[in-house]
Amino acid sequence: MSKREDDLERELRDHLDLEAEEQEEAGASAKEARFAARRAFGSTALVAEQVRQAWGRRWIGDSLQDLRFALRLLGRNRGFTAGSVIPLAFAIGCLACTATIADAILFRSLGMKQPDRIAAIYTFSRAKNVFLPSNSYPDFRDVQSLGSLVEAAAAFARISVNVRISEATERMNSEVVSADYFRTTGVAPVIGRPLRAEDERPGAPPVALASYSVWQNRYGGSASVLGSVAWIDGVAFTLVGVMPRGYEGTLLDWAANPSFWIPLPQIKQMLPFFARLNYENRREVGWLMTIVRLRPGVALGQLQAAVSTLAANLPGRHDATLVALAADQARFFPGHRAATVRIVWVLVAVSAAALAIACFNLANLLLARAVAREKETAARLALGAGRLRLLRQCIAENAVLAGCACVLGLPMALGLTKAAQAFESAFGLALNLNPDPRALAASALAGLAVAVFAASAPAWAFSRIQLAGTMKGAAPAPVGRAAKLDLRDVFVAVQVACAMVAFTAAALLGQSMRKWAAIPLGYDPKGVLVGSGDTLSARIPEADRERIYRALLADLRTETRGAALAGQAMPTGQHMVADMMPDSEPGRWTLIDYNEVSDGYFKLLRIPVVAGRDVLPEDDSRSRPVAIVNQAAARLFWPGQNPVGRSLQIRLLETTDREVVGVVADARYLPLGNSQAALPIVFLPIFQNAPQVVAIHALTPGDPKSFIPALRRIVGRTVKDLPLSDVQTLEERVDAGMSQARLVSQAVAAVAAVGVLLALAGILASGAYRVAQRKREIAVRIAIGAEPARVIRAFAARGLVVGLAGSVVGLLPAVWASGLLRSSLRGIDAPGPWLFAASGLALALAAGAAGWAAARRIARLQPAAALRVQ
Amino acid sequence: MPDQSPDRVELLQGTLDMLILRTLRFGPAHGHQIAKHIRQTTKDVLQVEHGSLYPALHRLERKGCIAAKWETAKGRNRQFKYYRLTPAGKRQLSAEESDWKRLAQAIASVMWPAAAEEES
Repeated sequence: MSKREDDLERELRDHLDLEAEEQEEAGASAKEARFAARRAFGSTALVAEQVRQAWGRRWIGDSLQDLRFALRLLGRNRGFTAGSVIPLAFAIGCLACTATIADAILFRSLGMKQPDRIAAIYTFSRAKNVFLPSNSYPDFRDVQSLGSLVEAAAAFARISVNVRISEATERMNSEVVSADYFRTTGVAPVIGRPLRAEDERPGAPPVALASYSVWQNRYGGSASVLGSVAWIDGVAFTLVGVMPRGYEGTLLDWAANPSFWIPLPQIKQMLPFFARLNYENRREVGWLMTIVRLRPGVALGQLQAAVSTLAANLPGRHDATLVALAADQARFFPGHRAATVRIVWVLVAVSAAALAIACFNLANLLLARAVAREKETAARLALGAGRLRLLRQCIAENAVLAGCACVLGLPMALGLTKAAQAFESAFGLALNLNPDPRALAASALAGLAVAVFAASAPAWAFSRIQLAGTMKGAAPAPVGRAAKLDLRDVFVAVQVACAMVAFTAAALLGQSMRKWAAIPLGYDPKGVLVGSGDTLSARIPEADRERIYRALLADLRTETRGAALAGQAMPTGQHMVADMMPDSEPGRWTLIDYNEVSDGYFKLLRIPVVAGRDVLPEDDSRSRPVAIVNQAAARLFWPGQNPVGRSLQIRLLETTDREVVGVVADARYLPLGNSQAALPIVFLPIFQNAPQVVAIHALTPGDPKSFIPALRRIVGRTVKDLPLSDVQTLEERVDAGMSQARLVSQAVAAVAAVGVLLALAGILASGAYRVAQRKREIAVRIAIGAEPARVIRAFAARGLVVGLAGSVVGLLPAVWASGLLRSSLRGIDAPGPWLFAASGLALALAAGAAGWAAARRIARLQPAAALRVQ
Repeated sequence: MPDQSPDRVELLQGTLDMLILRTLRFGPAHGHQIAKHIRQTTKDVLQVEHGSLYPALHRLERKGCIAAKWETAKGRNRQFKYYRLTPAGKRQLSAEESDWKRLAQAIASVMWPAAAEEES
């Protein structure tokens, strides 16, 4: 208590003492005197309250008092507090998590200067109707030459490299960038210098810039990083600068963020086959991303017109054109943006539903309590409290509730964000999901707004309190009033409607997930363990690859039921593609996915060879170049014909003419949840085109997970120092493709569960309340002969009616939500009307059951006792 | 008992402040003394409601017309909250006094015209 309050109390007590003394002097006994003094004075509490009014600026004192009162009250009603705070905290947590994800995906600055002047140039394949991350170096030079439109242009590629800083070697991503990268992005190193044109000259010493996090984590943020050496893919790079904090490249969705920025020509030192590639002059070698900084005032359309003209004049690439994209589009790989934005919308819708449910739950609970506290409120009104004063106190209580919910929601938001991040491939993005103060603040505000809105319900109840009736106690509800619309029922119905939306969405997702799981893969992942080994980091010369791979296969086969190698493990979202030309369409190059596989690959995955032959161990660099196609590729190149014996030109390092020797059955090489159409793909014998990195497949004798150490041991004894990464079972790999759908489905299911539970709790509570309120009426009815069972049915029907009404109201938004889901996630089926009907009926029945459970206490009612009490 | 006096008159709105200030002209006093003084000097005619006295005291204190201090009462081993007039309070009192006089005269001239003329 404040000193002022103390003083006031003392002053009033003094007055009473003095008055009593006087009375005693006049001859009264001590007790009488005290009593008389009190009577003369009246209510000290009232006088004190009037004095406080005289103090003015009562808001602060009152508010503190309100807060103290609210805290005490909430502490006493633990059930109420938990029931209102936890759903609200859950909703705020969901919202903060969604806002963090949305912000990171759509709005967070990537650290480029004047990003509105940045544009990205992509190759677009008309034949396949897809964007390709693959401009050629000559393409880039052409774009760079558009000097009247373009201030600066940069080409870059993100590559996975082995980095040795002190002792241990680590796999990290790096970007090889052209010299103008820094002028184009406007990024300035925090220390050191950017890359310059002279770093690109032949024979220039290898230099690189490190990312801020590498600088902090590996060099302790010391300036001595400048001039120190990092071994990247076996080349000693001198570090000349550090990128600014938080700068992680210009793209969100290209595997992990880069740790080093390296001059483009150095790729020839790092990846030996690039030295022979002559990429500078070959237009068909597409491997670069291109971004440009437009001159001030140049519109994107002008750039588009210019690059279209460039593409039209390109020799031999008639199915490809160049497309310019604005900066906000360019933060994603083009095809991904729409899908990513839609998934954000789904998450926003889910958290909005959670918030709506929490909001009506809170309003309902507050209303219930306001009614329960009617007598208390009436007493306070009678003692002279203003209605406004009571309303303010009510708002204070809600502010405390919302505050508690925010405090609880914060760790929940962090937890949820972490969980979302654990769904690695859910967004296919390297997102910076650090807690975002803006997102947290916005969510807390939303929580407060909900609390204020919810407070309007009890305020409405206050305004209807009839002093006299309430104070007399129990103005019994006349029988006829039973049918009148009750605000609580309306709230419960809205909750049921929200739950209906979440419930149908969850049912739809669950149905689709089950269906996906049942889709035939075309191969059998059971018992298969996959790991990837990098020969470059083991310093294995290219010439030795075939020997090493053969030894590895032989050794693996002694301890497993089968082993095979592939350039890439399937399924994967990032396939290798090459220009191919079948003999059926001379002069027509098409980009097609390919993979290098060893003998035994199809057998291990149980993919049937439908025509011709499998890959043989004898297919190597000395034998005739061959290829095996899948059925989709056969249909694409040789529709209606037998492809075996036909020829196919494939442009890789060199263009080779390959004979098609076999056809294998189609399988799902893309992650689940992607388009279900079969992907045309061409397989090359691995010893005819030995890749630097191989995916080692082993059909394990027992549980594949427990074979992981054995796999490492076998690989380690065959090839010294071959680092084995990404070791996982093929089943896990397949499963990972569903992670986006699973994230959404789990979020929706959680909200649906909470929503349904809260709605049912609301029905239960309002039913119980109604029974309690109308005890006397019920008792009278039973006393004059009504069967308890009939009375129970009458009350239970109310729950059913509320549930049905909610389901009907929720129908339209539920249909809308399912449409949104279908447009956001691939492979969601159109829901049948039965889904909505069944969900609605289930909810209504559950509501009826809750109403019945609440009404059941009627049976325990003793009419005589009930009548006596009231 | 004093509060059952049949001649009790309710205080006119706004006059309580003036009476309090006037009482404090005689020197510092605590709440009980002020109430008692008003009651005694009006021979129990004016009853100061406690519900009005203390809020009025605190209001006057906030306006700066009076100042309060905890002081030990004469001949007692106990502190009371004593109020005293401030210079602002004195000005306020004289202003209210002249207002009151004018009002009283005006009322008197309506109620008892002859007497008022005789006087003037």
